[in-house]
Amino acid sequence: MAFVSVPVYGRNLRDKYGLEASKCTSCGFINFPSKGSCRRCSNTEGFTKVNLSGKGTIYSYTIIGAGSAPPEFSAQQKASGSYAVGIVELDEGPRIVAQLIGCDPEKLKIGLRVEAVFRKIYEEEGVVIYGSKFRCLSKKQ
Amino acid sequence: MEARVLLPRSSSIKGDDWLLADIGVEGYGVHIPEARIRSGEYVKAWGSFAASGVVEKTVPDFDEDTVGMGVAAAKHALLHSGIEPKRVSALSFASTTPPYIEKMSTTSIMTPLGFSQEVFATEHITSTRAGTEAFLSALSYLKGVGSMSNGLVVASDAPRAAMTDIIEHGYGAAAVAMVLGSKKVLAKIEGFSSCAYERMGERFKPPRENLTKDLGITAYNEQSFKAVVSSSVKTLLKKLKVSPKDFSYVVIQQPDGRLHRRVAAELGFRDEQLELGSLVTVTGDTGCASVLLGLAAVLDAAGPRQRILVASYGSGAGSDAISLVTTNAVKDAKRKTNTVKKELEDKRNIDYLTYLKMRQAIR
Repeated sequence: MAFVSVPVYGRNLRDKYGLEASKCTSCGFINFPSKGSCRRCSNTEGFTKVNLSGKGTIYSYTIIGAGSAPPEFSAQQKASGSYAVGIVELDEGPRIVAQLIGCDPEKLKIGLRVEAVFRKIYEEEGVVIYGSKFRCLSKKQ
Repeated sequence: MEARVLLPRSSSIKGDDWLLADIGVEGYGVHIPEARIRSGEYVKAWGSFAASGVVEKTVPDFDEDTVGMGVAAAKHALLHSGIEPKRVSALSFASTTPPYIEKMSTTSIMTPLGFSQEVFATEHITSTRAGTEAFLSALSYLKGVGSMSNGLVVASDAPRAAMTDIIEHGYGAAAVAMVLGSKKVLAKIEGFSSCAYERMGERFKPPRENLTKDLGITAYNEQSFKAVVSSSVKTLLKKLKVSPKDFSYVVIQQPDGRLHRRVAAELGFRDEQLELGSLVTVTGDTGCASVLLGLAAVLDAAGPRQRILVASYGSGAGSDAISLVTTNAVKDAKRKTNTVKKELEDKRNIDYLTYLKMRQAIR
């Protein structure tokens, strides 16, 4: 039996890998991840695909230490001691939960500028899951 | 059916590869992991460091695999060339350490880049020669279908061996991507030659193993390196009717800091020609990304109308030699961000224990 959901993986592929969002043609709201109906005006027809820039700011964050990582991230937590997870508000509006990298956890601050980088997120049943992590822009452009 | 248009013979292009005349590098990008470990850390841990000429090397982070590094380099390359991702019709990926031995990796690379699904995707994974193999594969495809679309070559590697094995000492990690095309060419591909002949015992991975082995017969390995690289380079020089002094820059596969210098000297090249493309001292052995990374460093600095030689080596054994000539466009296409120099300066040093954890040798 497989625990990895292939349909969910396939459905979210363009969102997760390419940061592709749906812009509502009725009210202009940018929906991410893409949904069947607009989160703001509930319009169910008329979306245009837009590529998000991947640039944003830290809206909130936390540090995951020993004992608090979900099973798929426990190997990473063991190797690094702890890792940062944040809510990133993208310049286009949507907020995303993602790991924050390339910054010292002590120096993390709400409002810091970050940029999406394509990384391995975790491995499950030998399958590699990729996606976006966010790197602090102050250090590396 | 589209009529096949033959390109006119250009006076600056010699040999029989004149059909390639207009195809070349339109843009490139690199990804060099931030983490570095210095040779002294190995000396503290093991009492010695076996990779001669390597001062420090790049280390892939826990979540930095060859697909992720390749995507990062490819994004820079696409940006540099200014082409639309949908224009890419051939994607060639090279790595001796792909995430999967069976299952395409190119698909994971093209999705975040927004490529069309109508892509001829090839993967080159069996030796450190894979980088030039991928380069020539994309080139051959463009040449075969007519050169109006673009090819993307991604060489991304993070060689691995057992931590107790001295061949591991020099292994680094890096990715480089190059956009091939015929519109805004920075460096034309003037010609290439290859050499392959049977050798064994050097740098191999049996099925069911993910760590590289080596029988450790150093003298034999060196002899093979010199013979195969010399052969592909000499054939190319003969074909193009040029001599070592006609090249401004030379980039040869760098498994360590010494072997490429020896073979270059034997072929009649001078140290100055090697300097810009010799990165192993500060990156370690970047496997199949080695020579294209050196080429990127050269293109960062090269002026117009300069000839560049690139020669790879892979165990088993084979070598590809490629000659490129820069165009006037190279002047205006100088990159401000992502230069090899800047990527090398942007680093943080780690100790050996952190290295073991990052490379998942202990878990």
